[in-house]
Amino acid sequence: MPDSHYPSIDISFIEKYIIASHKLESDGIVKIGSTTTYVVKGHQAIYKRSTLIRELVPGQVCLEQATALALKFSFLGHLIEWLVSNRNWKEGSYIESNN
Amino acid sequence: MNTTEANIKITRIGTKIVSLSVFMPIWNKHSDHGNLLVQIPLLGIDTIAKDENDAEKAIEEAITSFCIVAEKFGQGVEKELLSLGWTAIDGETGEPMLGYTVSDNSDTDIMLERLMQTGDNYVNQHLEIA
Repeated sequence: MPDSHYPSIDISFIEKYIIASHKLESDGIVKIGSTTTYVVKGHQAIYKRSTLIRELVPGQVCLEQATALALKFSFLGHLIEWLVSNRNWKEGSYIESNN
Repeated sequence: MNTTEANIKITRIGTKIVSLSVFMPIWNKHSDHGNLLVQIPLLGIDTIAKDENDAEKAIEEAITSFCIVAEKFGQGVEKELLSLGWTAIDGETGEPMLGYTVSDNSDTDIMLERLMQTGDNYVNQHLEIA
């Protein structure tokens, strides 16, 4: 199951930090089917202000897309903590459980 | 001489976009994790899909999202496409369209034209925009 090796991230967790960043346009979260686009404020062309993700599993975002958003919206530290607490995943691999 | 590599025709009722006709190259490749990475560089968009069938849906969602976002937060689809390098062209019956053209008068453009030809052609005669 190579597609499930990397952890996925709850979209609700990601959006909490994106909204809290106050970088978004008002109502700047656009959902079409499984696709969500986040639009930041500014005067640049729209393609420069948009970041698109797609949920392949409902409610879940893959690690690559989540990390890109975490860098863009400055919550990478929180994402790393969340992965340890919620996915048992740290520094690039799953933590061996001794329990 | 110019080669048109892509075109988009926008149908509006009043000021509202109702549908698009799209012809545009896209690139798919498999990720290390079994997903399909779908690149739509002429719209500045990368997305992902489960497989080839899902990729069709992913592209439709990406194009629809681009239109809605361009209309709501940008300067409208036409101007936002211009900023991505598209130009206004005339369709076969003279109707206004946007096209992505590459001229063959420089080495850079010849290279770009060859790159364009490595993409898969995405064709959708009628994509409804919600």
